[in-house]
Amino acid sequence: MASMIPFEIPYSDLHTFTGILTAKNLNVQGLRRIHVCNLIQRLLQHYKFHTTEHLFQSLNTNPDLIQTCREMLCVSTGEFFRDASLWIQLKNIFKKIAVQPNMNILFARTSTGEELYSLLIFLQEMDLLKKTKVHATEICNNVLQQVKRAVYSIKTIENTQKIYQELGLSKSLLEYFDISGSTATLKPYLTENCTFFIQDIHSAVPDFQVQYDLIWYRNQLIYWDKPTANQYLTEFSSVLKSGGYFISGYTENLDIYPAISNFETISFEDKIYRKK
Amino acid sequence: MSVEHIIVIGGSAGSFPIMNILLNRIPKNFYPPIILCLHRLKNVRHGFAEALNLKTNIRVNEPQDKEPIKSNRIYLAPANYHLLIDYDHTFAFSAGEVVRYSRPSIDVLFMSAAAVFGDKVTAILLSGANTDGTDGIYAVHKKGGITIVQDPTTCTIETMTASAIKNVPVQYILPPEKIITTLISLFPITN
Repeated sequence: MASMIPFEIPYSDLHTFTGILTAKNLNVQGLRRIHVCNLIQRLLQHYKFHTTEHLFQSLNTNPDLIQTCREMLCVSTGEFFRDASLWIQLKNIFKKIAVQPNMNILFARTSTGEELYSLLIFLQEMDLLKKTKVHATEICNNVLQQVKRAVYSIKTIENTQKIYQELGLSKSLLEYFDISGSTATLKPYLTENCTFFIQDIHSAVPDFQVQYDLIWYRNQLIYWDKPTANQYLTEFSSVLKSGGYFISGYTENLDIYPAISNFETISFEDKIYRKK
Repeated sequence: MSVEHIIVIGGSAGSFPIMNILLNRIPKNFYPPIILCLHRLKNVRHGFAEALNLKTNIRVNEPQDKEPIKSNRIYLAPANYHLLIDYDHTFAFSAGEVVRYSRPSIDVLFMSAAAVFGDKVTAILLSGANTDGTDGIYAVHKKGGITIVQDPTTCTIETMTASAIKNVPVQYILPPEKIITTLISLFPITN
């Protein structure tokens, strides 16, 4: 049985922790308090430290801990075609965007890649992949390299097959992968127009002078406090074309942020917004 | 008005009928917010809250991120997210890894509730087929909150409740009908 209450980290420890990380170029100011507590708890468990003091000493002296911390800040549980109703809505959205000769998509924070590759497969199914450029970002190089390898267990893909079929797409999901033993690797042609970038944790958008037709940023705003989430939303708005779409996560309510004034709601249920 | 005390309820296999009975008997002016964490299919978004709403006097809603917790409400953890309580008494979510094969996890909800509300938490654990909830109800116990576990002999599957009873000195081990009468006696209705 645990000897301390998870999530119960004194405010002074939170301050020390964020101060150390900021000094190590990993600024987590603006992360919600409960999530900072969770991050500290995970580090304590991972390294089997019994006190935060021990953790802080090691963070100051061992760069591996900062790297682990950065990896832990990447959401580790993406899923192929998560939230079927969203994908049904996306069919209509892409039909509207597709009247243009080219499309630019920003996929901010790839996590473990399943949603990114769901999107690329979806674009291929709609015969839009060749005309679409995708910028995919993550804050941790190790995680991004893993995403680029695009290797998943066959079981993971087979578990998605039922949802995938409900979307009425033509091919079997497995046909988009090269199979070897129990693993499936995404076929390379799907990522030909996808470019991967490391993103600073405290700026939401890459500096490419690109205006995007669609920005995908799902299940990330939940980790940030209101001012920070609003700042990110403002940044996204600045690089989104007028009429471009912003996709956020199922539990994320953009109505609470002042920057929502730049958007109109297309589907509150599926968290689809369009820039005014 | 700020919330002074919260009630968190967790359940898994076999808990849905019991939850229905409990919610059916919660008076419409019951004051403390009730937050439900039930193991559910991750890809089924609709139907769960709607089914619970058929039986309750207080509307059941899935909260949104950063939504303030309010009294006289019943909240249900949405599928495929961990539901947490943050220090500003708002809801928080995580799409992080499953905990004891579960997302939402009862442990995560209960532990965050204990960390934030301290002894102002009542935790209730119902029937279930794994040990999610044991660490959570321990956290509530350790902070001085009220702990109630459904009597395993009344559970469809007793793994969850038996684990909690084995590992935590819970205050009340009760059959479903006693759980509701105990709740109402702990939080009497005032007009």
